Amino acid sequence: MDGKHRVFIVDDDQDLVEIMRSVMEAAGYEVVTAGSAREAMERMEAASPHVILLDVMMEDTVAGFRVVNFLRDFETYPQNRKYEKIPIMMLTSIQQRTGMKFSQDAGSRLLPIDAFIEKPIKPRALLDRVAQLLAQQ
Amino acid sequence: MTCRRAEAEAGGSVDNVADPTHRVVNHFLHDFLGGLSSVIMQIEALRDGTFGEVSPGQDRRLGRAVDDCERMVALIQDYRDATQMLEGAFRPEAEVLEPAQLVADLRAELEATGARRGLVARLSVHGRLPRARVATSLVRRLVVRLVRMLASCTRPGGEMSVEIGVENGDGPTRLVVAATAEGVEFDHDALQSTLDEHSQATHGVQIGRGYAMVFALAATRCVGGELRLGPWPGRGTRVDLSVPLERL
Repeated sequence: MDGKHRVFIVDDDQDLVEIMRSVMEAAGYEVVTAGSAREAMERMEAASPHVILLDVMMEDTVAGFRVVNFLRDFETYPQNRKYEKIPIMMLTSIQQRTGMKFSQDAGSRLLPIDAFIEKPIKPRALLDRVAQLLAQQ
Repeated sequence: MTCRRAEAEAGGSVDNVADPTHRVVNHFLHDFLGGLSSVIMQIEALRDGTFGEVSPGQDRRLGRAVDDCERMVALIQDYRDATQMLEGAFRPEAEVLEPAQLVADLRAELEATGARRGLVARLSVHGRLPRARVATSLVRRLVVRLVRMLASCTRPGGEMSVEIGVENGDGPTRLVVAATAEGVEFDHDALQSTLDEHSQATHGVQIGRGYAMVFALAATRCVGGELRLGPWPGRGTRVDLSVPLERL
Protein backbone atom coordinates (compact mmCIF):
# COMPACT_ATOMS: atom_id res chain seq x y z
CA MET A 1 0.00 0.00 0.00
CA ASP A 2 1.22 3.52 -0.82
CA GLY A 3 0.54 5.02 2.61
CA LYS A 4 -2.93 6.57 2.44
CA HIS A 5 -6.10 4.54 2.38
CA ARG A 6 -8.13 5.30 -0.72
CA VAL A 7 -11.89 5.79 -0.41
CA PHE A 8 -14.12 5.48 -3.48
CA ILE A 9 -17.24 7.63 -3.01
CA VAL A 10 -20.05 6.77 -5.43
CA ASP A 11 -22.96 9.19 -5.17
CA ASP A 12 -24.84 11.41 -7.63
CA ASP A 13 -25.31 14.27 -5.15
CA GLN A 14 -22.32 16.47 -5.90
CA ASP A 15 -22.74 18.60 -2.77
CA LEU A 16 -22.72 15.52 -0.59
CA VAL A 17 -19.73 14.10 -2.46
CA GLU A 18 -17.85 17.37 -1.98
CA ILE A 19 -18.41 17.50 1.78
CA MET A 20 -17.63 13.79 2.19
CA ARG A 21 -14.43 14.37 0.25
CA SER A 22 -13.49 17.28 2.56
CA VAL A 23 -14.19 15.25 5.68
CA MET A 24 -12.31 12.18 4.44
CA GLU A 25 -9.33 14.20 3.17
CA ALA A 26 -9.13 16.17 6.41
CA ALA A 27 -8.88 12.81 8.18
CA GLY A 28 -5.99 11.75 5.95
CA TYR A 29 -7.73 9.61 3.32
CA GLU A 30 -7.26 9.82 -0.41
CA VAL A 31 -10.58 10.16 -2.23
CA VAL A 32 -11.76 9.06 -5.66
CA THR A 33 -15.33 9.70 -6.78
CA ALA A 34 -17.96 8.59 -9.30
CA GLY A 35 -21.40 10.06 -9.87
CA SER A 36 -23.27 7.06 -11.23
CA ALA A 37 -23.29 3.27 -11.17
CA ARG A 38 -21.93 3.14 -14.68
CA GLU A 39 -19.10 5.51 -13.88
CA ALA A 40 -18.31 3.53 -10.72
CA MET A 41 -18.01 0.27 -12.66
CA GLU A 42 -15.86 1.91 -15.32
CA ARG A 43 -13.54 3.53 -12.78
CA MET A 44 -13.28 0.66 -10.31
CA GLU A 45 -10.03 -0.75 -11.68
CA ALA A 46 -8.25 2.61 -11.91
CA ALA A 47 -9.63 3.75 -8.56
CA SER A 48 -8.20 0.70 -6.82
CA PRO A 49 -9.95 1.63 -3.56
CA HIS A 50 -9.53 0.22 -0.07
CA VAL A 51 -13.15 0.94 0.80
CA ILE A 52 -16.24 1.88 -1.22
CA LEU A 53 -18.99 4.25 -0.04
CA LEU A 54 -21.96 3.61 -2.28
CA ASP A 55 -25.27 5.44 -2.66
CA VAL A 56 -28.36 3.35 -3.53
CA MET A 57 -30.47 5.68 -5.66
CA MET A 58 -28.49 7.44 -8.35
CA GLU A 59 -29.39 7.41 -12.07
CA ASP A 60 -32.25 5.11 -11.08
CA THR A 61 -33.66 3.66 -7.88
CA VAL A 62 -31.49 0.54 -7.85
CA ALA A 63 -28.22 1.84 -9.31
CA GLY A 64 -26.25 1.10 -6.14
CA PHE A 65 -27.40 -2.51 -6.16
CA ARG A 66 -26.13 -2.90 -9.70
CA VAL A 67 -22.68 -1.90 -8.45
CA VAL A 68 -22.98 -4.47 -5.63
CA ASN A 69 -23.91 -7.14 -8.20
CA PHE A 70 -20.96 -6.11 -10.32
CA LEU A 71 -18.58 -6.44 -7.36
CA ARG A 72 -20.01 -9.50 -5.64
CA ASP A 73 -21.79 -11.67 -8.22
CA PHE A 74 -18.79 -13.77 -9.25
CA GLU A 75 -20.82 -16.11 -11.46
CA THR A 76 -21.71 -13.22 -13.74
CA TYR A 77 -18.49 -11.27 -13.26
CA PRO A 78 -15.76 -13.84 -12.48
CA GLN A 79 -13.09 -11.26 -13.32
CA ASN A 80 -14.22 -9.20 -10.34
CA ARG A 81 -13.25 -11.70 -7.67
CA LYS A 82 -10.23 -9.43 -7.17
CA TYR A 83 -12.61 -6.91 -5.54
CA GLU A 84 -13.98 -9.45 -3.07
CA LYS A 85 -12.07 -8.10 -0.08
CA ILE A 86 -12.86 -4.42 -0.67
CA PRO A 87 -15.49 -3.46 1.93
CA ILE A 88 -18.66 -1.83 0.64
CA MET A 89 -20.67 0.53 2.82
CA MET A 90 -24.02 1.65 1.43
CA LEU A 91 -25.20 5.20 2.05
CA THR A 92 -28.93 5.08 2.19
CA SER A 93 -32.11 6.59 3.53
CA ILE A 94 -34.21 3.51 2.77
CA GLN A 95 -32.67 0.85 5.03
CA GLN A 96 -34.75 1.89 8.01
CA ARG A 97 -37.97 1.70 6.00
CA THR A 98 -37.41 -1.62 4.30
CA GLY A 99 -35.48 -3.32 7.08
CA MET A 100 -32.83 -4.36 4.56
CA LYS A 101 -30.29 -6.75 5.99
CA PHE A 102 -26.84 -7.52 4.78
CA SER A 103 -24.07 -10.06 5.10
CA GLN A 104 -20.36 -9.85 4.44
CA ASP A 105 -20.55 -13.30 2.86
CA ALA A 106 -20.92 -13.01 -0.93
CA GLY A 107 -22.63 -16.42 -0.99
CA SER A 108 -25.22 -15.42 1.57
CA ARG A 109 -28.88 -14.90 0.77
CA LEU A 110 -28.55 -11.46 2.32
CA LEU A 111 -27.34 -8.35 0.53
CA PRO A 112 -23.58 -8.99 0.24
CA ILE A 113 -22.16 -5.75 1.57
CA ASP A 114 -20.25 -4.87 4.72
CA ALA A 115 -22.19 -2.01 6.29
CA PHE A 116 -24.99 0.48 5.93
CA ILE A 117 -24.92 4.06 7.08
CA GLU A 118 -28.13 6.05 7.21
CA LYS A 119 -28.43 9.48 5.64
CA PRO A 120 -28.21 12.15 7.00
CA ILE A 121 -24.67 11.13 7.86
CA LYS A 122 -22.70 12.59 10.74
CA PRO A 123 -19.03 13.09 9.76
CA ARG A 124 -17.76 11.48 12.97
CA ALA A 125 -19.98 8.42 12.43
CA LEU A 126 -18.77 8.14 8.83
CA LEU A 127 -15.10 8.28 9.84
CA ASP A 128 -15.63 5.75 12.64
CA ARG A 129 -17.40 3.28 10.32
CA VAL A 130 -14.76 3.61 7.61
CA ALA A 131 -11.99 3.08 10.17
CA GLN A 132 -13.80 -0.02 11.49
CA LEU A 133 -14.17 -1.47 8.00
CA LEU A 134 -10.51 -0.91 7.23
CA ALA A 135 -9.48 -2.42 10.56
CA GLN A 136 -11.47 -5.58 9.75
CA GLN A 137 -9.62 -6.12 6.49
CA MET B 1 -31.94 -11.01 1.21
CA THR B 2 -30.32 -11.55 -2.12
CA CYS B 3 -28.89 -8.70 -4.02
CA ARG B 4 -31.66 -9.02 -6.60
CA ARG B 5 -34.35 -9.06 -3.93
CA ALA B 6 -32.87 -6.04 -2.18
CA GLU B 7 -32.82 -4.36 -5.57
CA ALA B 8 -36.46 -5.18 -6.14
CA GLU B 9 -37.49 -3.97 -2.70
CA ALA B 10 -35.55 -0.75 -2.92
CA GLY B 11 -37.06 -0.10 -6.31
CA GLY B 12 -40.44 -1.02 -4.96
CA SER B 13 -40.18 1.45 -2.14
CA VAL B 14 -40.29 4.16 -4.75
CA ASP B 15 -41.65 2.71 -7.96
CA ASN B 16 -44.40 0.35 -6.85
CA VAL B 17 -46.48 3.26 -5.70
CA ALA B 18 -49.48 2.96 -7.98
CA ASP B 19 -50.41 6.61 -8.28
CA PRO B 20 -48.11 8.37 -10.76
CA THR B 21 -48.48 11.61 -8.81
CA HIS B 22 -47.24 9.93 -5.65
CA ARG B 23 -44.39 8.40 -7.60
CA VAL B 24 -43.28 11.81 -8.80
CA VAL B 25 -43.71 13.21 -5.30
CA ASN B 26 -41.55 10.38 -3.91
CA HIS B 27 -38.77 11.20 -6.30
CA PHE B 28 -38.96 14.88 -5.35
CA LEU B 29 -38.91 13.99 -1.66
CA HIS B 30 -35.85 11.82 -2.22
CA ASP B 31 -34.11 14.83 -3.72
CA PHE B 32 -35.20 17.07 -0.82
CA LEU B 33 -33.77 14.53 1.59
CA GLY B 34 -30.54 14.41 -0.38
CA GLY B 35 -30.20 18.20 -0.17
CA LEU B 36 -30.89 18.24 3.56
CA SER B 37 -28.44 15.40 4.15
CA SER B 38 -25.78 17.48 2.48
CA VAL B 39 -26.64 20.57 4.57
CA ILE B 40 -26.52 18.55 7.80
CA MET B 41 -23.17 17.05 6.92
CA GLN B 42 -21.74 20.46 6.01
CA ILE B 43 -22.86 21.91 9.35
CA GLU B 44 -21.65 18.93 11.35
CA ALA B 45 -18.28 19.15 9.62
CA LEU B 46 -18.09 22.82 10.68
CA ARG B 47 -18.98 21.86 14.27
CA ASP B 48 -16.38 19.08 14.25
CA GLY B 49 -13.70 21.65 13.47
CA THR B 50 -12.91 20.14 10.06
CA PHE B 51 -12.62 23.68 8.64
CA GLY B 52 -11.23 25.44 11.71
CA GLU B 53 -12.24 26.29 15.23
CA VAL B 54 -15.82 27.27 16.01
CA SER B 55 -16.74 29.35 19.07
CA PRO B 56 -19.19 27.92 21.64
CA GLY B 57 -21.79 30.51 20.58
CA GLN B 58 -21.41 29.60 16.93
CA ASP B 59 -21.58 25.92 17.84
CA ARG B 60 -24.91 26.48 19.63
CA ARG B 61 -26.37 28.22 16.57
CA LEU B 62 -25.08 25.50 14.28
CA GLY B 63 -26.58 22.89 16.61
CA ARG B 64 -29.97 24.60 16.29
CA ALA B 65 -29.59 24.60 12.51
CA VAL B 66 -28.94 20.84 12.57
CA ASP B 67 -31.99 20.32 14.80
CA ASP B 68 -34.12 22.29 12.36
CA CYS B 69 -32.81 20.30 9.41
CA GLU B 70 -33.41 17.03 11.23
CA ARG B 71 -36.97 18.06 11.96
CA MET B 72 -37.47 18.71 8.25
CA VAL B 73 -35.94 15.33 7.42
CA ALA B 74 -38.37 13.65 9.83
CA LEU B 75 -41.27 15.58 8.37
CA ILE B 76 -40.38 14.61 4.81
CA GLN B 77 -39.91 10.96 5.79
CA ASP B 78 -43.26 10.97 7.60
CA TYR B 79 -45.03 12.57 4.67
CA ARG B 80 -43.48 10.16 2.18
CA ASP B 81 -44.16 7.05 4.23
CA ALA B 82 -47.62 8.08 5.46
CA THR B 83 -48.83 8.65 1.90
CA GLN B 84 -47.51 5.22 0.92
CA MET B 85 -49.15 3.62 3.96
CA LEU B 86 -52.48 5.25 3.16
CA GLU B 87 -52.16 3.88 -0.34
CA GLY B 88 -51.29 0.40 0.95
CA ALA B 89 -47.93 0.50 -0.80
CA PHE B 90 -45.79 0.46 2.35
CA ARG B 91 -44.98 -3.02 3.60
CA PRO B 92 -42.47 -2.92 6.43
CA GLU B 93 -40.54 -6.11 7.02
CA ALA B 94 -41.00 -7.82 10.39
CA GLU B 95 -37.76 -7.98 12.33
CA VAL B 96 -36.73 -9.19 15.75
CA LEU B 97 -37.50 -6.55 18.35
CA GLU B 98 -34.65 -6.34 20.81
CA PRO B 99 -36.24 -4.82 23.92
CA ALA B 100 -32.96 -3.39 25.20
CA GLN B 101 -32.47 -1.50 21.94
CA LEU B 102 -35.99 -0.09 21.99
CA VAL B 103 -35.58 1.04 25.59
CA ALA B 104 -32.17 2.58 24.82
CA ASP B 105 -33.57 4.46 21.80
CA LEU B 106 -36.48 5.73 23.80
CA ARG B 107 -34.28 6.81 26.69
CA ALA B 108 -31.96 8.68 24.30
CA GLU B 109 -34.91 10.38 22.61
CA LEU B 110 -36.44 11.40 25.94
CA GLU B 111 -33.14 12.76 27.24
CA ALA B 112 -32.55 14.75 24.03
CA THR B 113 -36.11 16.07 23.86
CA GLY B 114 -36.11 16.90 27.57
CA ALA B 115 -32.82 18.78 27.34
CA ARG B 116 -33.83 20.65 24.18
CA ARG B 117 -37.18 21.80 25.54
CA GLY B 118 -36.28 22.18 29.22
CA LEU B 119 -38.57 19.34 30.35
CA VAL B 120 -38.26 16.65 32.98
CA ALA B 121 -38.44 13.42 30.97
CA ARG B 122 -38.90 10.02 32.63
CA LEU B 123 -38.98 6.49 31.27
CA SER B 124 -40.32 3.51 33.22
CA VAL B 125 -40.09 -0.06 31.97
CA HIS B 126 -42.63 -2.44 33.50
CA GLY B 127 -41.64 -6.07 33.76
CA ARG B 128 -39.44 -7.78 31.25
CA LEU B 129 -40.07 -7.03 27.59
CA PRO B 130 -39.93 -10.18 25.45
CA ARG B 131 -37.98 -10.64 22.26
CA ALA B 132 -40.60 -10.57 19.55
CA ARG B 133 -41.16 -10.23 15.83
CA VAL B 134 -42.72 -6.99 14.68
CA ALA B 135 -42.09 -4.14 12.21
CA THR B 136 -39.40 -2.93 14.60
CA SER B 137 -38.11 0.08 12.68
CA LEU B 138 -41.60 1.42 12.18
CA VAL B 139 -42.64 0.83 15.79
CA ARG B 140 -39.50 2.57 17.02
CA ARG B 141 -40.17 5.53 14.73
CA LEU B 142 -43.79 5.67 15.80
CA VAL B 143 -42.94 5.74 19.50
CA VAL B 144 -40.28 8.42 18.99
CA ARG B 145 -42.70 10.57 16.97
CA LEU B 146 -45.35 10.26 19.68
CA VAL B 147 -42.83 11.38 22.29
CA ARG B 148 -41.93 14.42 20.17
CA MET B 149 -45.58 15.19 19.57
CA LEU B 150 -46.32 15.05 23.27
CA ALA B 151 -43.29 17.18 24.12
CA SER B 152 -44.84 20.02 22.15
CA CYS B 153 -47.74 20.19 24.62
CA THR B 154 -45.66 19.86 27.80
CA ARG B 155 -45.27 23.13 29.72
CA PRO B 156 -41.70 24.45 30.13
CA GLY B 157 -40.17 22.68 33.13
CA GLY B 158 -43.10 20.22 33.13
CA GLU B 159 -42.80 16.47 33.26
CA MET B 160 -43.17 14.15 30.34
CA SER B 161 -43.30 10.51 31.25
CA VAL B 162 -43.29 7.33 29.18
CA GLU B 163 -44.18 3.90 30.53
CA ILE B 164 -43.52 0.82 28.46
CA GLY B 165 -44.49 -2.78 29.09
CA VAL B 166 -46.40 -5.76 27.71
CA GLU B 167 -49.97 -6.85 28.13
CA ASN B 168 -50.89 -10.52 28.06
CA GLY B 169 -54.65 -10.68 27.61
CA ASP B 170 -56.81 -13.16 25.73
CA GLY B 171 -55.41 -12.14 22.38
CA PRO B 172 -51.80 -11.77 21.30
CA THR B 173 -49.19 -10.24 23.57
CA ARG B 174 -49.15 -6.49 23.04
CA LEU B 175 -46.47 -3.91 23.53
CA VAL B 176 -48.07 -1.06 25.46
CA VAL B 177 -46.72 2.46 25.66
CA ALA B 178 -48.40 5.08 27.81
CA ALA B 179 -47.07 8.62 27.62
CA THR B 180 -48.22 11.61 29.63
CA ALA B 181 -47.34 15.27 29.29
CA GLU B 182 -47.82 17.81 32.05
CA GLY B 183 -49.10 21.09 30.70
CA VAL B 184 -51.77 21.56 28.10
CA GLU B 185 -54.92 19.59 28.76
CA PHE B 186 -56.54 19.09 25.40
CA ASP B 187 -60.25 18.83 25.20
CA HIS B 188 -61.34 15.23 24.56
CA ASP B 189 -63.48 16.19 21.54
CA ALA B 190 -60.68 18.20 19.97
CA LEU B 191 -58.35 15.21 20.30
CA GLN B 192 -60.94 12.89 18.79
CA SER B 193 -61.39 15.22 15.83
CA THR B 194 -57.62 15.05 15.34
CA LEU B 195 -57.85 11.28 15.15
CA ASP B 196 -60.94 11.22 12.98
CA GLU B 197 -60.16 13.91 10.46
CA HIS B 198 -56.39 14.16 10.28
CA SER B 199 -56.73 17.71 11.51
CA GLN B 200 -54.87 19.52 14.26
CA ALA B 201 -56.05 20.17 17.81
CA THR B 202 -55.09 23.64 18.95
CA HIS B 203 -54.96 24.78 22.54
CA GLY B 204 -52.34 27.50 22.60
CA VAL B 205 -50.05 24.81 21.17
CA GLN B 206 -50.91 22.23 18.55
CA ILE B 207 -50.81 18.48 18.78
CA GLY B 208 -50.34 16.55 15.57
CA ARG B 209 -48.81 19.52 13.81
CA GLY B 210 -47.91 18.99 10.17
CA TYR B 211 -47.90 15.37 9.19
CA ALA B 212 -47.00 13.97 12.62
CA MET B 213 -50.52 12.78 13.40
CA VAL B 214 -51.19 11.53 9.89
CA PHE B 215 -48.00 9.50 10.12
CA ALA B 216 -48.77 8.26 13.64
CA LEU B 217 -52.23 7.07 12.62
CA ALA B 218 -51.09 5.46 9.39
CA ALA B 219 -48.14 3.75 11.09
CA THR B 220 -50.35 2.48 13.91
CA ARG B 221 -52.74 0.92 11.39
CA CYS B 222 -49.81 -0.46 9.42
CA VAL B 223 -48.56 -2.43 12.45
CA GLY B 224 -52.09 -3.48 13.49
CA GLY B 225 -51.97 -1.33 16.61
CA GLU B 226 -54.29 1.00 18.49
CA LEU B 227 -53.66 4.63 19.33
CA ARG B 228 -55.67 6.63 21.83
CA LEU B 229 -55.29 10.28 22.73
CA GLY B 230 -57.00 11.76 25.72
CA PRO B 231 -56.87 14.42 28.37
CA TRP B 232 -54.92 13.67 31.54
CA PRO B 233 -57.49 15.25 33.82
CA GLY B 234 -56.19 18.27 35.66
CA ARG B 235 -52.65 17.61 34.48
CA GLY B 236 -52.26 17.54 30.71
CA THR B 237 -52.50 15.10 27.84
CA ARG B 238 -52.08 11.34 27.55
CA VAL B 239 -51.27 9.03 24.63
CA ASP B 240 -51.73 5.26 24.72
CA LEU B 241 -50.32 2.99 22.05
CA SER B 242 -50.57 -0.78 21.87
CA VAL B 243 -49.05 -2.99 19.21
CA PRO B 244 -49.52 -6.75 18.83
CA LEU B 245 -46.29 -8.77 19.05
CA GLU B 246 -45.40 -12.18 17.71
CA ARG B 247 -43.39 -13.61 20.59
CA LEU B 248 -40.26 -15.59 19.82
